[in-house]
Amino acid sequence: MGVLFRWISFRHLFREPRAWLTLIGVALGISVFISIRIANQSVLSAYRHSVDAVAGNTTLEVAGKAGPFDETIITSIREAPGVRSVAPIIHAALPMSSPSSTEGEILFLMGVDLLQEGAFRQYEIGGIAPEKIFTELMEPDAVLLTEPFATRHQIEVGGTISVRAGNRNLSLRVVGLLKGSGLAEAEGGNIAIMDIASAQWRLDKLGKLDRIDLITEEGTPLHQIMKTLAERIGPDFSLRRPEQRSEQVEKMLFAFQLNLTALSAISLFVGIFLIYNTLLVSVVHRRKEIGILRSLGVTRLRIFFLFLFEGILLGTIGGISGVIIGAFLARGILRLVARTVSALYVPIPPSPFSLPPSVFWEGIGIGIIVAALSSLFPAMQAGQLRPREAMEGIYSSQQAPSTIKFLLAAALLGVVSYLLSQVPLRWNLPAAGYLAAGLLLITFSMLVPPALLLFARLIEPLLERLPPSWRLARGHLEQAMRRNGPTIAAFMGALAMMISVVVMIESFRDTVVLWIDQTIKADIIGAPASLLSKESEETLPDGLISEVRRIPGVEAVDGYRSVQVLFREEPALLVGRDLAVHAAHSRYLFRSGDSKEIIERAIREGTVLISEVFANRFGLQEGEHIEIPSPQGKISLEIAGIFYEYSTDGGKMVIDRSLLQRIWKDDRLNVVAIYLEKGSDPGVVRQQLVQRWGAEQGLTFITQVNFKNEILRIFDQTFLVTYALEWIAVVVALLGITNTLFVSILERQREIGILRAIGASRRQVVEVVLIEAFYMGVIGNILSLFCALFLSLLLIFVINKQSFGWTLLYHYPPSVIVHSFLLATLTALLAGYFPARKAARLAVTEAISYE
Amino acid sequence: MIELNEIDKTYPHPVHPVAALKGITLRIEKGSFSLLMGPSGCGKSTLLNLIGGLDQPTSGDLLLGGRPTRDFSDADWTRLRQTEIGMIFQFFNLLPMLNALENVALPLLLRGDRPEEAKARARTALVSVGLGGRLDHRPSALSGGEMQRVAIARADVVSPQILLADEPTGNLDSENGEEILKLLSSRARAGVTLLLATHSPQAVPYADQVIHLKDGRVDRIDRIDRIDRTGGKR
Ligand SMILES: Nc1ncnc2c1ncn2[C@@H]1O[C@H](COP(=O)(O)OP(=O)(O)OP(=O)(O)O)[C@@H](O)[C@H]1O
Ligand SMILES: [Mg+2]
Repeated sequence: MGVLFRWISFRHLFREPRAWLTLIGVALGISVFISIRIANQSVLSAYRHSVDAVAGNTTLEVAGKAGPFDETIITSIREAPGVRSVAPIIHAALPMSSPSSTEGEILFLMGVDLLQEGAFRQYEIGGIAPEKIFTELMEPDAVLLTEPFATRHQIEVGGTISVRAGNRNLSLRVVGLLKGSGLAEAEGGNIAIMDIASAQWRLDKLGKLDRIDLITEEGTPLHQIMKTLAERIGPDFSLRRPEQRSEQVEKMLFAFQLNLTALSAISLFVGIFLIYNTLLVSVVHRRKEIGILRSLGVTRLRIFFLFLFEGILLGTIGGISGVIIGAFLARGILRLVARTVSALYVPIPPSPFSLPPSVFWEGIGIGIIVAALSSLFPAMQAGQLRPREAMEGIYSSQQAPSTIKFLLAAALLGVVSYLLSQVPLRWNLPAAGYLAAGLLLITFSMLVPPALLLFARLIEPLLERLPPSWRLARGHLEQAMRRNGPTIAAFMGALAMMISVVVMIESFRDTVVLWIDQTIKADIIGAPASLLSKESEETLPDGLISEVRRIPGVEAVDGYRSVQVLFREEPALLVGRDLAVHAAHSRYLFRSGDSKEIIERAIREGTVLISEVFANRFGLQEGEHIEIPSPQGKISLEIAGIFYEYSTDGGKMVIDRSLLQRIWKDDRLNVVAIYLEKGSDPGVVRQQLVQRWGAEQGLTFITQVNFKNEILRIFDQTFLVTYALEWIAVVVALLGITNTLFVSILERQREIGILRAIGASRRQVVEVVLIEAFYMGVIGNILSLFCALFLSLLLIFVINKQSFGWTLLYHYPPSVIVHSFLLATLTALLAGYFPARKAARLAVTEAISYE
Repeated sequence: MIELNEIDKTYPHPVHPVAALKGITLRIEKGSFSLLMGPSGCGKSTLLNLIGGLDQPTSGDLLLGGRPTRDFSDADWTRLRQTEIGMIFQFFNLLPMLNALENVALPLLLRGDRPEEAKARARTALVSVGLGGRLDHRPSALSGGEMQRVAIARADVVSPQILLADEPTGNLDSENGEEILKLLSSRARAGVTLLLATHSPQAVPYADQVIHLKDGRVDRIDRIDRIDRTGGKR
């Protein structure tokens, strides 16, 4: 075996360009997969790390289900059995305004009871004498910043920073810096510590708390403590371990991350085809060699292992290089992923790039498994060749694979795929949907050989008038079906996935555009500058709404207030808005029923409207009653309607603002939607609004057009990662075609030689190769368009629906057909370029004597 | 007429360059039938390939019909092969995915003849080699002798002035070989300059002259009397 491997495998593997192409392809596929894994893990671990840093030694947290709660509860918690220490906490996410470099950043302010903190969190404070810490920090507006943050923005001890708290500017004095590990690492350093009394005062939470941290006795089991505590604090509070917060985020990001992983698997999938194809071709190409070896007494099994090992060698080297490339790729991808997650779900602290050593083994492992799987069949083929058969020359026609068999297999797989797509969601994992998508790809791969034959037959009469290169290329295409088949299949798969994802994104975008057009009717939207940042708790100035109403040209103003509640132990958004104004000037797109009617009922009867995503998340239906936690205890409301909405924050509940004001005793607003009288100029009104509140209060006023554009801009940015992954898959597929064509040249050296000998010019040889590539591209493209049709249906109505809960309108844009055709043709021609050049430069004499 | 003056051909190799032809000087008359004979490795194929322009000599001059070929470009050689030189090889060398008719029509199509015209001429050429009934058969459905006849038709279809054949009977039994030789010699009688490399003495009776090569040099040239030839086997 050793000799065979050294003399034969190595010489074959590394002498020819195709081995390198295969390696690059496999390495790229693995690297994409690995880099997505690294990015996903880094994002989660960054979040977890931040949560751990904030939690310190905390074993349990108490939070109010309806938001901030009365601080008096702390006494009864402190006296509960099993509780050792108790720390009251105030927290807020505050948009920063100065120094100017901080603009757009969020500072997480944490108000703590300094006397309790020692047991909970690790404070390593610099820039201040230890004995002065207490007295200095007790001063109003005194804060500790983290050293990384201060360094980043060149803030020194004694300096000040400005943030927006509620609807006011707040100037904070830096009295010291947090260093080392622990708290300083929370929120990527964007954290400030304040004394709890000043925090309560400055954040309008006098007498209230956001959270209570507990450390429990080690002797007593946690669940027992939780049980007695839960009874003591009652149903308006939630009790959980700090880790549960990370778990919640993991759960929230699960579908998103799974989606990315699935996308990254595309390249891996194409890589599998690449190895499979390389080895299969190798077997065909080396038939003679196999025959000679067999006649020299080498056993079937050794031939089998020879080829298997070749595949595994490719996989191993591909895996190692894949990890190396992946580590580089991951940096860029991590940035994109973190940005998307922050924009859509939760703010992710600047994620330190972590490269766990396990990833290295994972990459090699994937490489080897992928290689072993994909080389199994070719190796078996090699083992089964009979010596005589193997030594036959080029005229022993390869028997054409049976078309019927392929069609039957495709039909069967197609049916199974369809059935799988009908299986409902299980364990929060659209496994059946993904499986159906995988089967669909295999189904269409099975259709490649029949499609190839049909294509060859159909174009034959068309080529009559064209130069002979077109007919020669057609002949090659058909003749080398076994080699071209898998290549076209891989190309088709990559293209189909690309097209279907494009169709999904386009459908999604169209849906969003339609939704925006039908539901965003306000002429001007006014909000704090931090409107688009998820966690910002900024509110509008008091009295703004009545003042706006008095501006000439303004017809109506809808005030919008959102509060965080814990619905069924999960964070959820409750919105109070002026539904009467909304009904009169705008609308919700309800799943069923008339918008005006439903909204009017909601005002009259005090019912709740929920978004589709929210309904899917908790399995709710129209007419059901839900219990929403409030400062007055649980309130039970009937669901009057379920409306479409395309946000990623888990959906929302909407009630009339008067209800929210009454029960929450909350008059504040986050956003105002301003409707203008007919004929008044939004630009002019906006100018007035900006002059009054813009500079001083830091509010922004966006006209309808700009608001819509902003939503779409964020939408487009979200899909950057997706597009990046798609492109890599196409590159891998391109390598596949190049590879196949190179082999094709190798195998046809003699034919090319003959062509030259009987009068073909170099150009004509180039043409033949390029046209064959073009044919492959066209077949792959046509099949991929059909495959994408089904795949996109699956993506939109099964996978996406199950993962995210949106109903999207299906739209297969005709432009996709044109674009994909251009892409496929270009890719194919690009792939054919180097092989064609090689073919043209072949020494004719050597080619002819080649046997 | 083919003229070779002091032709050398050395195959480069970093350690062992091979001098395949050394100072070959030859004149081959228009319309003559010459055999190239000699032991394996003496340079027969190399010489034919040079004349067909598939490879270039290391030094020396090759003249075709009085024209020096020294400055011919690849495109010039291609044009020459499309119109004046036909080549035939030992391993038939048909394109497996084309049928007999297409194989023969190909050189005409490659040089830009109209498809109908090319097909018609190819049909005539195949009929003339006795394969009028096998037009739409692929090479895999033909016997060795039949394949070689297709190859001859393909070389002949462009009406070349020179036919170069490298061991065309090498893979055939003597009976089929005889058939092929008859076909080729009939081309020579029609005025084509025919140069045939072979190991088989079977061909001698058909030829005008036998050029014996040895170690890349012309060893000797045997001229065969025309009377002798016509008086020989038929
Ligand atoms: N591409 C090449 N590279 C190096 N040496 C070559 C090459 N082609 C031929 N030779 C050498 O040149 C010499 C002449 O070869 P050629 O093929 O012309 O011989 P031949 O007379 O046709 O032999 P045969 O009767 O076996 O066909 C031989 O020694 C051969 O090894
Ligand atoms: Mg030879």
